[in-house]
Amino acid sequence: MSEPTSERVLLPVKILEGETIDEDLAKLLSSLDVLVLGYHVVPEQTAPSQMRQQFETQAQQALDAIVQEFEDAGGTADSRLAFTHDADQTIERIGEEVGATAVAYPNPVPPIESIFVPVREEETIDRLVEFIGELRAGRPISLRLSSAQKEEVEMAGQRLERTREKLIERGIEEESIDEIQVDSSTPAVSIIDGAIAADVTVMAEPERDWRTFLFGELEERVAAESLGPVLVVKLPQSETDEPDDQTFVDE
Amino acid sequence: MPAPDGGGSTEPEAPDVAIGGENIEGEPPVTDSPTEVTEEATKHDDVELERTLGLVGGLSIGIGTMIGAGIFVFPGLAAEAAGPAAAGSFAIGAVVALLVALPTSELATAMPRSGGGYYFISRAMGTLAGTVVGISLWFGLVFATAFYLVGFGFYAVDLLREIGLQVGTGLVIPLAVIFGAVFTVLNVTGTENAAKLQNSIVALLLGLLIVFLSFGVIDSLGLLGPTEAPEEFAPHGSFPILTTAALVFTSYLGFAQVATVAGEMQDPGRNLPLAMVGSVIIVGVLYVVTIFVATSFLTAAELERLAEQEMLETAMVEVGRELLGPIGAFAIVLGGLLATMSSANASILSSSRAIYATSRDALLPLWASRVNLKYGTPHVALALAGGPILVLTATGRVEILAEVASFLHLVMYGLICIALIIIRRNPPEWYDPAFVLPAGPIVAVFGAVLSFALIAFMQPLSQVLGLAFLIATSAWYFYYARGVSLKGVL
Repeated sequence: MSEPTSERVLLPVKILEGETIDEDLAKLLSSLDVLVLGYHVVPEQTAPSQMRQQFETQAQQALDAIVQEFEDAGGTADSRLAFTHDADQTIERIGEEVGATAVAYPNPVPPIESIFVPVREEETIDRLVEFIGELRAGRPISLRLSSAQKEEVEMAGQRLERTREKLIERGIEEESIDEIQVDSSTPAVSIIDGAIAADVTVMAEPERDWRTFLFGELEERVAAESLGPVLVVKLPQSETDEPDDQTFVDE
Repeated sequence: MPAPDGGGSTEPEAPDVAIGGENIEGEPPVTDSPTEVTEEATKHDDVELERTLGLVGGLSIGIGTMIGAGIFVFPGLAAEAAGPAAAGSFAIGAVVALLVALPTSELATAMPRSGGGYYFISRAMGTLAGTVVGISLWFGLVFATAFYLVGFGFYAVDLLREIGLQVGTGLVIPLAVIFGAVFTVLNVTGTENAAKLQNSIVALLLGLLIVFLSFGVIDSLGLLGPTEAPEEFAPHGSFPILTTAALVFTSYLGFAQVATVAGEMQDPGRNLPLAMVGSVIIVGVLYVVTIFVATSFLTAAELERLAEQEMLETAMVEVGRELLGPIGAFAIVLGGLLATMSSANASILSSSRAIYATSRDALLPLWASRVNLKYGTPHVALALAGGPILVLTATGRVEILAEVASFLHLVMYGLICIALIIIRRNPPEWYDPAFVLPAGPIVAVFGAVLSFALIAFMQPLSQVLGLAFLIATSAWYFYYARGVSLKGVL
C-alpha cells in the first residue's frame, strides 16, 4: 500500500520456453502494478489439462522466480498461470479480467536510458502522458517523441508540441524530452524503425483495421522487430459502461 | 452445511463416494476439480485452462469426422446391399444418433471435461463400466480410423486412375498403411494449427456437396431430361435395410467426438449441445439426400460392375462422372481424399484424448498420457492409437472395421443413455446441466434400446470381435483397476 498507482501492466511470459524477465525491465516497471501472466501454448493434439498435469509445477516455479525478480527490483507483482491453445485469446481475456491498462512485450533490455514514444492519434495523447508519468515516477529517463504518421509536417509538429506541453504539465522535466522527431513515412515502418533503436517503446494500442488482417497486429510486429520491450497502453473504452475515472477493483 | 432435516420420510442421502483408491501399480486417480468454469476458461486454484474451441470448431469436428464415411465410402456398399431403400438405413442411423446426442448434450453441459462419454459413464456408473467404455472408446476410434484410412486408400487408387495410371486395388492397403504411418508421425511432431485447416476442409466439402447434390436432385427428379427407369425401392426386401443401418452407423460416430474435447469448448452450455445435435442433423440430411441421388444413378448393373472391380467404396466417383462428367468425377475423388483424411485425423486425436482421460483416472498407467515438452504432444497416447491402427488398416476389411467401430461406440452410447437415467434419478449435488433435455429419461430409454438393438443386426464376426473386446476390457478392470473408485464425483 505504499504508492497506489492506477496503471496495471499485463506482462505475458512464455513460461515453459525459458522466457525470463530482465532485471532492468523489472526495475523500469517497478513503479507500476504488474501482473505476470505465465502461459504455455499447447498444440491441439494435447488437452491443456493434460499439459498442466505434467508441467504445472515446473511452470509455477519459473513464474515464482519472475515474481521474485520484481520484488528484488523494489516493486510488486501478481501472477497468473494459464495453459492454452490460443495465446492471443488468453492474453486478451486475462487483460480484461484484471483491468489491465497496458500490455508489455518483454524483450531483453539494454540499460534503460530513454523511451521511444510514437504519438499518432490526438485522442491517445492524454493516456500516453498519464502512463508515462506513472511509469517514469520521477526517474531520470528521457523521452523521444515521434509523430509516426503519414500526414503534413505542420500537423505532426503541432501534435508533438501539444504532447510535449502535456508531459511538462504532468511534471516531467523539460530537459528529459530530448528529441522531437517528425516522421511522416508509413506509420508501421516509422514505428518499427524507431523501436529498433529504442531501449523501450511505449505506444498506444492501435486500432484494428484491414491492415491487421493483412499484416497481423502492429504491436506484435513492433515487439518482434525491436530489441527492447514494448509497452502497449490500452485506451479507455469510449462512452461505454466503463466509468471515466479509472478505478480498478483488485480482488 | 447442515442438511435440512424436515424432508419428510426420505432416507438420508448417501454421501458421494469420493474419487480415490489406486490401481495395481499403486497410482491414484488424478484429482483436479476446478474451482470455477467460465465461458472462456476452466479455473483451478492457481492455474487456468483456456477454452478455445467455438461453435464452428465443434461443428467442424463433428461434421469433419462423419462425412468421410457416410458420403464418400458407404453409398455404393449400402446401395448394393439394400437398393434405394438404403436412404432408410441412413435415416434410422440419424434417429439413433439423435436420440443419443440429446442425452449426451445434457451430460456434457453438466460435466464439460475431456473424455466425453467415458467421463459421464465412469462418474454415473462406476469404475467397471468406466474401464470398459474408456478402453472401448480408445479401440472404437482405432477401428474407425483404420476404416477411414482404408477408404482413403481406395480414393488414392482412384486418383491414380483418374490421372491415367492403371493401378489395381492391390495398392489400396499399402497406400492406406503408409498414409496412416505418416499421419501418426505428423501428429506427434507437428505443432501447426491443423484445426483451422480442418475448418476450411469441412467448409469446402460442404460447399462441394451442396452444389453436387443440388444438381443431383434436379437431375434425378427428371427436370433436366428423361428419367431413367426407376429402380425398385427395396430390391432385397426390408431386412437388409436394418443390417445396412447397422453397417453404415459408423457414419454417425463423430458427434460424440465433440464431447471428448468438451473441456476445451467455449461457452460449453450453449456450444456443446448445438455442435453435437447440429452436426448429426446436418450430416443426417446430407446422407439421405446423397443416397437418394446416388441410387438414381447407380443401377443394379452398374453396382454389379463396381463390385466386380472391388471399387464399391468409391462408387460416388461414378455418380460424379454421370452428373458432371470428368470434372464431377475429379471433384468427388478430391473430396473423398480430403474427407477420409479429416475423419482419420479427428478420430486419432479423439483416441488420444480417450487414452488421456482413462490414464488420468488410473485405469491405464499414468505414463500413457505423458506429454513431451519439445512438441507438447502426447506421443505415448498417439503411438498407442497409431500402432493398432496400422495393424487393423493392413487387414483391409472395410465392413468389419466399420462394424466393430460402431459396436464399441454403440455400447458407449447405450451406457451414456443409462447414465443419464441413473443421474436423473439421484442427481449429485454438483449436477447442474446448462442444457436440460425435456423428457430426458424417456428419450434416453429409446436411445439405449435402439443403440443395443442396432448391434443385433451386425455381421456375426463383428459381434464376436466386439464381445471379445468387452470381455477383455472387463478382465483388465479386474486385473488392474479394481481398487479405483470414480463414481459420483465431478
